[in-house]
Amino acid sequence: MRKELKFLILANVSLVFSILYYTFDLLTLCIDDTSKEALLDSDINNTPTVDESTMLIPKIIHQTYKTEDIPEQWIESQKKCIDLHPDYEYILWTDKMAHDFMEKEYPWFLPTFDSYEYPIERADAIRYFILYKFGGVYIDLDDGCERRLDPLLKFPAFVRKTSPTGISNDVMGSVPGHPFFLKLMKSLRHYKKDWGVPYMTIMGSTGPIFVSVIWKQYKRWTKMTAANVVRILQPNDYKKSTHSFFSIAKGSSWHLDDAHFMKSLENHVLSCVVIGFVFGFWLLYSEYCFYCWLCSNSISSLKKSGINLLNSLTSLYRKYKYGGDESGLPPQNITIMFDNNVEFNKKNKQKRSRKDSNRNIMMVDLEKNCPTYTDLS
Amino acid sequence: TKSLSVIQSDKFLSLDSIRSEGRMDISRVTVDQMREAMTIYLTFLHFVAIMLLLPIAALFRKDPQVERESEMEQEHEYELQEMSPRGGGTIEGRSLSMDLSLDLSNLIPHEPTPPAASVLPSSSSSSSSSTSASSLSLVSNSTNSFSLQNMFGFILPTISVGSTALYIMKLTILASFLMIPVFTYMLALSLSPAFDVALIQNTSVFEIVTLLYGVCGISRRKYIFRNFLVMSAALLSILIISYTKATCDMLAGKLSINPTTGEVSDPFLFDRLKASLLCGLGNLPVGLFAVMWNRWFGQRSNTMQQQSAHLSLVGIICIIMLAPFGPGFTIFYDCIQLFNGDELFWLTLVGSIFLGTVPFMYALLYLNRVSPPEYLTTCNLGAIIFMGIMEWLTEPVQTTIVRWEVIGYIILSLSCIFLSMVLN
Repeated sequence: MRKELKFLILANVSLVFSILYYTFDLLTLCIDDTSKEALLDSDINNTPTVDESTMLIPKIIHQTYKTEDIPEQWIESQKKCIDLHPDYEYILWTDKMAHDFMEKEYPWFLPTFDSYEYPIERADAIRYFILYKFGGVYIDLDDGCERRLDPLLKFPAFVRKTSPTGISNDVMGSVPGHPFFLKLMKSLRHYKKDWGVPYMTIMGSTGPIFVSVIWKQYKRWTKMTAANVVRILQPNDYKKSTHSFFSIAKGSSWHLDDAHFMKSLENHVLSCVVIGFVFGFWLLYSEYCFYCWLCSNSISSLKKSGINLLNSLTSLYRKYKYGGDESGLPPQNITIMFDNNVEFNKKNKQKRSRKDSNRNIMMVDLEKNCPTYTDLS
Repeated sequence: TKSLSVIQSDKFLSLDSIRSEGRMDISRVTVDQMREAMTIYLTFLHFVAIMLLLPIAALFRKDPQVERESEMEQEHEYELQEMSPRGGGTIEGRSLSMDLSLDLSNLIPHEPTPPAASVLPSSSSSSSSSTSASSLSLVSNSTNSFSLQNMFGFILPTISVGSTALYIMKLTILASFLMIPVFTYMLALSLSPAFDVALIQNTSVFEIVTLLYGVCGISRRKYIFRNFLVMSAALLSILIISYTKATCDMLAGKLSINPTTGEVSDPFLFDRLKASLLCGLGNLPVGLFAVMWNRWFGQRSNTMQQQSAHLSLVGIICIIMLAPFGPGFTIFYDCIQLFNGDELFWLTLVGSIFLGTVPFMYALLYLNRVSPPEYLTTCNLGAIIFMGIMEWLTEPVQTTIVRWEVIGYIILSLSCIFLSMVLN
């Protein structure tokens, strides 16, 4: 096998392994079996009332917004949740409250918290800390409650399943000090990366993709017990069915143009896959063309052309620096010192230009040739 | 593809219709089980169809007498000295002793007569022709005694165990490379529309085969960059077609957008994504299959019957390898029983095999013999064009055509024609 081909294969294999390494957790989301952790009908829909002694999660509802002035579109959803749960403590976390909380309870995270580029990232991050600290149920403002949350409080923690894979962070519940939320908190700093596209940055650093990836890691490395399990609320129990817990108002207020673009890609799901394949082919075939070009120009001839190119560049540089003719040799008034009878080849010229002591200098005898010269020695 | 897609559609696999028609007691079978069984069943039938290549190759075989005469016309000019190195080279390239025992025509190059042969002295020519004649008598004996024993020569007791094991190993490797693409293709058809599957499958196969043929030195390294530009144009046109396809689906009312949320009202959106990825990635082993086939069994000295025999054996091994993945026998049996009296089902199925799978495989084998290997890749581009035409023919009411889709097809057709001219 040719050396060039070996290098190309090695480069591609390294690239593939790097991609696999960095996207491993994302790839594991492709196999998304939540059957073990799923909240079944028998868990949440069978009993009309729930015995309070069986509830593990404290009766607190957390919501976040930048101020206390909730936009009109969400007031109804907020009211529904408060009205349905008069016996629950309700906390609306404003930006100022969140900052004060972080400053007081988690000062180690405050620099990261403050350095988030998008406010929604802070809104995402704060929910993991408050659930870890106080426990309770976090609900996004665009999620209106349709029934009481009591059946969900029987479990140490729950999140909701998203389609087609992973989990979301818009509705979550937990007991104080749950290890999953601890892992989320600890991972935030590592995953704070700028992906270039705001939508991806937000989703990957604090949003649903981040939560899903950490959830996968948590399931992989933690031995599940009744105390540390995270139960999964299924899509039908979340919305759009008769026994759903929530109804959804118009949300996604943080979505920018890029998010709308990403959403529009869903309309063209086939072309997205085709783009991937075409790009992969284009990349690999370009490498193949490059390889063929390398093979057609042997290494020695490449070296020669490289040297020629270097020489022409050197000549041009000399011409620019010293002036003179196109050959790049110093101008005539300097070459007067050279013996013009000596024949130089190109190699000699280069050598001599680098080392002046080697120059064939024609010394002028001043005593003989200059009438005004007097030797004072 | 369209027929296989119809078979896996709700038209046949809807439990409601089965219940209402009272065709069978389906309380034991779920929809998923039935779909899985049907996918496995169709994959199984695909390999059975491959096995049909052997009798078909024998059927379409030229008259031995005519073949022998035409060979004699060519061979009388050959020189004996030329036979040894070239024939020897061919033998060295093989691992199978069966190829040696099958017929001696393998020893005779099938390329056009070299110019040197025509200027040979008459004495030399006569001596070589006499030698050729002796070998040709062997050829004719071998050709006339064509039989299953010839085709499956590897089971002859004279063949060493080692070479047989090597041969079976080669077939098994090929079978594993072939089984994955066929299975993922059938699986994708159960999840996504036929056109989507055909498009991504052919794109994937075109790309991987083109690339691997180049890297492995099977295709010629001439005008690579120019061909690359044309291929890029073809792929760009495929991209245009796939993009406008969604637009057309929306115009035709197959998809709609929820005006309040902006979401596509396509409950099968993620099924389509899954199918595209599965089919696209699952078809990548086809590239390895094509390379290995050309290395091991693709020599033109291998007759069509021999190649069909190899391929049939690959089909048998695929069926054996598929067995553990099938659902329980009772489920399988129940599902097949469902369609016992359904003539439309069987008509569609037989049509897909005899008008689709078998002719396509035979054509691939034949083209691989008569054209340079890379020429086959143009078939994939052609398949996309014909799938578009087929979609338009089978769903004339639901098909909406937009300007950019037509432009895409035109570019694709031109690229395909250009590639078929330069690669042949």
